[in-house]
Amino acid sequence: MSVNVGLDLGSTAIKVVLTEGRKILWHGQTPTAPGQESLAQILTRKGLTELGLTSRDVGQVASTGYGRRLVGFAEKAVDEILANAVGLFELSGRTARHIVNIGGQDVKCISLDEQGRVTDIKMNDKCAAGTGRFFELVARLLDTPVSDFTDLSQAATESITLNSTCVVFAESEIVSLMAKGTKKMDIVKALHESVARRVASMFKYSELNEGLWLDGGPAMNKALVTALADELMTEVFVLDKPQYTVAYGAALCLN
Amino acid sequence: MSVRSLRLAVQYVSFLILMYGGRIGIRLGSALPCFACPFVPGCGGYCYLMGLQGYIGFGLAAGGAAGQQILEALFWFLVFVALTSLLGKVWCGWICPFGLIQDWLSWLRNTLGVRERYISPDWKNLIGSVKYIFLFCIVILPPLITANILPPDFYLPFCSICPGKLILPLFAGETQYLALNLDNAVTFWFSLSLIAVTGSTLTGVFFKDRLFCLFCPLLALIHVLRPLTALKLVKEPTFCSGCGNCRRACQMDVAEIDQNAPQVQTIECVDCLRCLEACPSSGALSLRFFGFKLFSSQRFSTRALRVKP
Amino acid sequence: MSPNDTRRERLYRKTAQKVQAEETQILDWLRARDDYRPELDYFLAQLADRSVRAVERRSGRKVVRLLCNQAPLELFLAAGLQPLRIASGSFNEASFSVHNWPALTCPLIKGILTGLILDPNLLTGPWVIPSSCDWVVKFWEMRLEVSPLDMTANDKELMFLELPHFKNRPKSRNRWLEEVLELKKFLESLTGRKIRRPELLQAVSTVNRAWQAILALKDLRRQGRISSVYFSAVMGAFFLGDLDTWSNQVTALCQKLWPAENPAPGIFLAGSPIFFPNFKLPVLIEEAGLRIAADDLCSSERVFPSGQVLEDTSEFGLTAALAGRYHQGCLCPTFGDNERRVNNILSQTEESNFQGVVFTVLKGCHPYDLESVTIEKTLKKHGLRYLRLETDYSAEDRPNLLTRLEAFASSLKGVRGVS
Repeated sequence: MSVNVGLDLGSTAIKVVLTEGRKILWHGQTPTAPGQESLAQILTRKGLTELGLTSRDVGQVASTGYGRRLVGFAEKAVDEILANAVGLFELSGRTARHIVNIGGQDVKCISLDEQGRVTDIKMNDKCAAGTGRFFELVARLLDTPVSDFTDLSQAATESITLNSTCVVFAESEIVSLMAKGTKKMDIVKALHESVARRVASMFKYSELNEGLWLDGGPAMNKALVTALADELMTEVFVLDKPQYTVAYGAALCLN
Repeated sequence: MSVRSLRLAVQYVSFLILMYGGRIGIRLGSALPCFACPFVPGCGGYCYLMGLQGYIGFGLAAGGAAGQQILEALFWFLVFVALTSLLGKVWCGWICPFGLIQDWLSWLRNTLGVRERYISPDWKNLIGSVKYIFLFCIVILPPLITANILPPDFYLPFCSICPGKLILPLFAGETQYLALNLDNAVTFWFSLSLIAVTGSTLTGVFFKDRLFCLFCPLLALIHVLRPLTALKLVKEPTFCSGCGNCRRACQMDVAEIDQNAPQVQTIECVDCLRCLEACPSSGALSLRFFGFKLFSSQRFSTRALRVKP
Repeated sequence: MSPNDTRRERLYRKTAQKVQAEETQILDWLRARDDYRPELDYFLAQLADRSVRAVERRSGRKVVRLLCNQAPLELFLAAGLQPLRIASGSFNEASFSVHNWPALTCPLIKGILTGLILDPNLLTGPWVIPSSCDWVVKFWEMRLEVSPLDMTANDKELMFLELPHFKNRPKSRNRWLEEVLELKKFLESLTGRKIRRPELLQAVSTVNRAWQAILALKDLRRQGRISSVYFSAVMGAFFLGDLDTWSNQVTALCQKLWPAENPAPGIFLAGSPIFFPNFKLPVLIEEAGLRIAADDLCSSERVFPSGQVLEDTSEFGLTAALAGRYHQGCLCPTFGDNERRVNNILSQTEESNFQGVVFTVLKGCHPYDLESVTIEKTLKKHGLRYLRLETDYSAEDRPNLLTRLEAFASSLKGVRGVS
């Protein structure tokens, strides 16, 4: 049996996908920490063991993400934009035309043509506004796990605006909102709207086609999806497990 | 071979044929769209302007009686249309012997280091309208002679004041047009005007490339036939960066050449192709014969860049 | 000496050392590459010492400092003067004066201002300052902040060259011609000698020879036979010595047998200029598996607006033609009617079959930033791939830029989702 391995070494999590052809056999993730190469290796072994396989069954390994060059045992390093495009285009049934990937410290807006070729890339460069880090920070301030954000946001009663997109300034703004007694759920809703505005500003409305997919960890947050759909005035599609598309794409690049 | 040297070669060969060709039996007919002056003894063909004046006069004089002459007039007219349709303004820039003489004066000015004068578009328009006055006279005076309103000395009115008539025959040793014609008042005034026009033309051309072409009625006639012309200078605006090399190289200072539009061959254009040679953008300017590219601009040819210090 | 003075001097010395180290590092790297050729040494040696004194020694001419190459270089050469474009690509220089200026100040101007502090010789001497972009216009005023001693107080050594920002308008062209005639007088006043026709013709032919050398070098790069980092180094030495010698060296460099063609996809690099030692983008583009095949940077292929075709070779005719060429032939985005700039990219892509265009915007370089929008639209309409990168001299965004360039490279190579 020949299993291909796709490793996505992101800034917050390491994701591993084991594939056979285009089929996903196994996926798993672990938080990013020093010693990324061995973390990726351990995770891969774990997957192989669960599938009842050994390292002899591994065909090829592809790495992607910021840490893609840190993995010595990978045959191929793929940039994460291409991996993302390849992975999501396949998983979306070749319907994706735009991908918004919210990662730990960046936001990427990728446009594709009908063949899945990348036609445009927009990316934040020096600022972490609107990224996964932003959510983590707010979670810490509100003392609420990010996984609760969806329910909180849906329960919001009042509409307020979070003016700062800058992580640092948003922190003080949220602190003062809390001091004023603003409810958590209203803050969370405002947070989603703020991130959606930030992402939407990276698109030109005139160039927006149907088929916008959101992926990366934060895509699991349904309230964010709703906020983004509202802001872009288009339907936003999400996969069940949106955080594995990039690792899967890297594995596909081996075919 | 660069366009420039090719053109120069063609100019000299044409000059020899049109000025001396008759001596070895070359007769190119009476409908040439250039100043192939019939007053040059032993010339190789006749300028159509003379034919035009002559036939309008003769044709009307003969009235309906001389059908053959009307047919002949029609025949030469068709020959003129055919020749013009084939080569367009190349007749002006590459073949016309008077054009070559004007180029000699430009060369002289350049060698002496005298600056060329610039004529503003407004002035150019004003000057340009003179050629229509000439055309009007060419068409209107011969019938007046026929109708006995004007004396026969008004025969060939344009030729009588055309500087080509004075200058070109000199190359065949014919000097009679230098002198005043004292036959009568009309001939006196005509010959005096000829000398005055020639003098001012030569002076003007010395200071401005091909100044006379702005006045030339033949140029206007050729331009009218442009829609039929097979040989065209075409611009592809998508490739033009607007650097203005073409306009600065242009003998006629055609203002439209560096604009962001495909139509560049204005009435003044004499197809000298200096613009094409000066253009640094590949494919922006091309000379086409029935749509087929004969010459096309390229990143500078070495030749175009050569300046003698 | 007050403690403040010694502190300041130490700071200047330290910055100068850092700048020096930055330059040495890139020069060493350029020399250590596999495709290094000894013919490049002439250019690298000049880059190593770009001081006014060194340029005067090498060219044997008095230097006139130019803040932007808008002024006709031929006039300087005809006057027996050496034009020297003042520029800085140094991260250390640009970040030194960061606290003095607004955050979005052009890094190039910040670098030059620091350069004035570090090398007092830079300021004292003749200057020609064309009014191209706002940064260049405000430079002389900003300079007072770093160098309050007005050592060039006499106007005789300073000329502001006012650039009309609409080049397709006859009145603007006439105004520019007046400015250029004024420049001619200014240069004559510096030497006390008239610029006449023979000197102008000589200068034109010198520049034309340089252009022919550049054409050969451009061809070499289009074929992928010389790396863009070396191309940038060669062009970076353009102003740094005698121009005829430079042309001969470039010709010699081109005649050298170069390795086989680099099969990496060729791209066209457009946008803000790139100055030594800031070769970040050319390096990253190569790292991403691409190669720059041509560019339209005013620091590189547009160092002057190509060769001169001159029909009227009288003194006035030559000056007027030069003025016209440097005005209308300039594709700088500071012009208000610059829409045909994109045509230069289109005609070159057509000619050499490039697949994509990388547009670089130096942070704070607003004219290029604005034009990137319209250019993107036109290029995409013509089916070209386009990538816009906004960056400054710092190295912190390197991984981010590299990711985007690599993705761009795969999209050029036609890598698609799943075949």
